[in-house]
Amino acid sequence: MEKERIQRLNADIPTSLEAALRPPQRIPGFAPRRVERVEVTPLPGWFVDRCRRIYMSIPGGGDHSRTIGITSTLAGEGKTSIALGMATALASDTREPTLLLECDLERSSLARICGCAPSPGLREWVETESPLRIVKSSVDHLFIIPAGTPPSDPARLTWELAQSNLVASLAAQFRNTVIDLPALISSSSGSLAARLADQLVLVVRSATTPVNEVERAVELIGRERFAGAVLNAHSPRHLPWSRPPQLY
Amino acid sequence: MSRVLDLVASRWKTFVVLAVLLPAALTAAGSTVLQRTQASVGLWAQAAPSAPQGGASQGSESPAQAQADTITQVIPTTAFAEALRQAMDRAHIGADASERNQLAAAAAPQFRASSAGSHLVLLTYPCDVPSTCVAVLGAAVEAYNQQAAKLRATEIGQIRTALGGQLDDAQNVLVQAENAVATYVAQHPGETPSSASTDPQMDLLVGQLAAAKQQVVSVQGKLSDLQVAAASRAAQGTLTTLDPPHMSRRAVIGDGGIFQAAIILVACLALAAAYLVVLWRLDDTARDPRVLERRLHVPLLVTIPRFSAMRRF
Repeated sequence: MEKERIQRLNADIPTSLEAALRPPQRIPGFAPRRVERVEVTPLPGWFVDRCRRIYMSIPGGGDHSRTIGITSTLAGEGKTSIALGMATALASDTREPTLLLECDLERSSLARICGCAPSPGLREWVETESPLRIVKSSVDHLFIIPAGTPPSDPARLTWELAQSNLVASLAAQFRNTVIDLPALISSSSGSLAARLADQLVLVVRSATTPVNEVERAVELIGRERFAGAVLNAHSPRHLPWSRPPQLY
Repeated sequence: MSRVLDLVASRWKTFVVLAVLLPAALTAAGSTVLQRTQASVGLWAQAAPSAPQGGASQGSESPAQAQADTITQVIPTTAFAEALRQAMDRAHIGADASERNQLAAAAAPQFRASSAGSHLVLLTYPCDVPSTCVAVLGAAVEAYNQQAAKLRATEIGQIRTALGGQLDDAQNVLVQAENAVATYVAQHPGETPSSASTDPQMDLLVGQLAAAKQQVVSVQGKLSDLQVAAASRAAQGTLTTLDPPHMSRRAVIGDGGIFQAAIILVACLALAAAYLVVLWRLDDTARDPRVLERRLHVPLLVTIPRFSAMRRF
């Protein structure tokens, strides 16, 4: 039963992608089909540049598409902002179709950041088999799939998501896919969702996240899965007469 | 250092409370709550107790300082405790004799004498019952004056005894000299006891007689001076109560407000420092990129500065 449902989901993916990426031609005498487009609040240049350094530090790319997952140890460490910044940088730099997929079903915030309607999203696609909603952003070549309304059982939905061919199908269409993943320790679906990405970037919030918790998260997923870590909200203080510490 | 600054900055409200507000609150509380009541009396010292004759003090000490020193030395003695008890008996302080004995024994070590100027001596006694404090302090002043008078009387008596012995000796010598002259005149009729005599023996006897008279007169003069000095010291050595016993307040810690505030401030700063050390030891949050990289064994790709503008998201 469940297998059949997943098969139906997989069958729907090409149609949704086709609709999002190649809208049908205008038929003479009819109004043009409306394509959903959101105005993403412009991020500061220095922030996008920092995010650019993240993807540039990650090996891969070239002829193959890449799927980078942004995760963290605990919730609220800034992974959604960094995922958006990285997707913006990738889309602007490569001028290739870039997707920002929000998989943090418990604490979805991308729709709020982008100013688009939160649903339907990934949750609705998995649960109700409604068409997959792919939103075109104001940034050229950047597309967004919001998580949708928070479900009551995010772990089950994440498992079904992992069973589907969604990420592989998306990777076939988008050269760059950035996945905003749930937190590894504080979320029940964190480690399961981490399987969706080829490479993981771990966001650590400075002066907030205990290092032993970060160590636990790294050991939980496996050190080799991580392309690297990002120290977010870092503000090293120094005495007025001393040399300011260098940023990485 | 960066980590310490970071810890202080991240909990700056707590440190403001510990290092600024708490000392201020404790100092304010200390000026009203952390104070003890005490009885104090202002005494006027005419002369230093050890001064031989009125007015002049010994060395560089002022009369008040000398009197304060003397009081400090007299107070712990059993003689003073007994005098205090007797003075309390006379003033009917306390319910009965046993209570007075207890009060006298407990009060004696608590008296504090200090000079407050060249001639003013402050004697204080801390306690909680104002009427008893004032009465005990009054009795203490009376007891001290008695003790001082007794000391003076003893001292003058000793000098007088010594001078009396000298006077007796001088008078005996005078009588012997007079007898020797009279005997010589009786044996040598025609000779008169005069310094103009041509007889050398008579001349010698007359000289001895004059010396004996001079010695008697000298000792009598010393005795007269002693009487005058005794009267003078009795008047000047006694402490005059300038400011009658009354109640006042004093800080529990230290001698004054600034000292007390300084002690509270140091204590609070020590508390803040201890809190900082505890934070330092317990804090395991990621702050240093190098430490994070070393502990995770994962490359640190980039550090992103604090982005307050992201709050709008």
